[in-house]
Amino acid sequence: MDLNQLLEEVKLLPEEDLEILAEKVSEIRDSRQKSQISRLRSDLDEVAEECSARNWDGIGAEPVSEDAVSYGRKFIDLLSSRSIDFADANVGVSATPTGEVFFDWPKRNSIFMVQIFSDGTVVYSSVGGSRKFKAKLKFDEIVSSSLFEDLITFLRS
Amino acid sequence: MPSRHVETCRFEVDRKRIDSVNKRLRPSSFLPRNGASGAPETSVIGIDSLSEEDIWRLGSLYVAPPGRKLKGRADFSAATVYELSLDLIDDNEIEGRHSNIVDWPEDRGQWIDIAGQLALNSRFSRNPEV
Repeated sequence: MDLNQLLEEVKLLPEEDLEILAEKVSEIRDSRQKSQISRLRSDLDEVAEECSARNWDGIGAEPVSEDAVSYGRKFIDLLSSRSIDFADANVGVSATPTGEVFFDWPKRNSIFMVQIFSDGTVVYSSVGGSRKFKAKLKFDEIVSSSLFEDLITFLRS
Repeated sequence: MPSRHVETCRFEVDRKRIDSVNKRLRPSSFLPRNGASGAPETSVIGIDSLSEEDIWRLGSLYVAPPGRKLKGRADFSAATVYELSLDLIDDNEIEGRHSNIVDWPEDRGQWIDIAGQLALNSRFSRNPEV
């Protein structure tokens, strides 16, 4: 059965069945979201370990900063506490050659990026896509900033 | 003096810097390190007229750290670098094929945009040996 056929059949369901279906879809999404957050935490732990020595990339990279990793962990905590639907996004976390922590949400023709520096500076930006997002802020300004709103808009576009 | 290279590539040893869904290197792979002079630079290899086999041989021999294998590479043209207002400076390393992407803006906030553009405008190849 293709997706169009499935949608046609869903439309014929009685209202109470639709509610059950919506609940199930929501449960699956929540579960996948938790799994993504858990993977991000585990990936950041690996980044902290694998990139802790100078020249971890073989071409002169600096060790990833412990402070940047610590901010990175707090950033994942903030992500998990927001209702941001990125269960289907191929989010990545990695170290930069100058010691920062870097998150990216890639899509086919665009990317949303967040770079966290050791002093708590956060730069986020998008490339590609029809709308440009960009800002520089301090870590404790994240919650009051438009970062998460911009990420949600990017993921939905 | 402009680079003698037309096509260049960036090798990657870290699986976390590969976007396997969209088949490209992630932007962090293109961000610069602090070079010997303190100026930011991204190391690349000129690949004009090299066979696939020779490209991977150069990467394995000169780029991969001891005990680690290259996971993939991104190929992009020197023109892409110039269009982003950066420059390519050749040196005599790696059989005369090494270059550095230089002239990164002083404002580090702009680096991720450039790295993102390089990621979007390059062609990814997975190392056939991994």
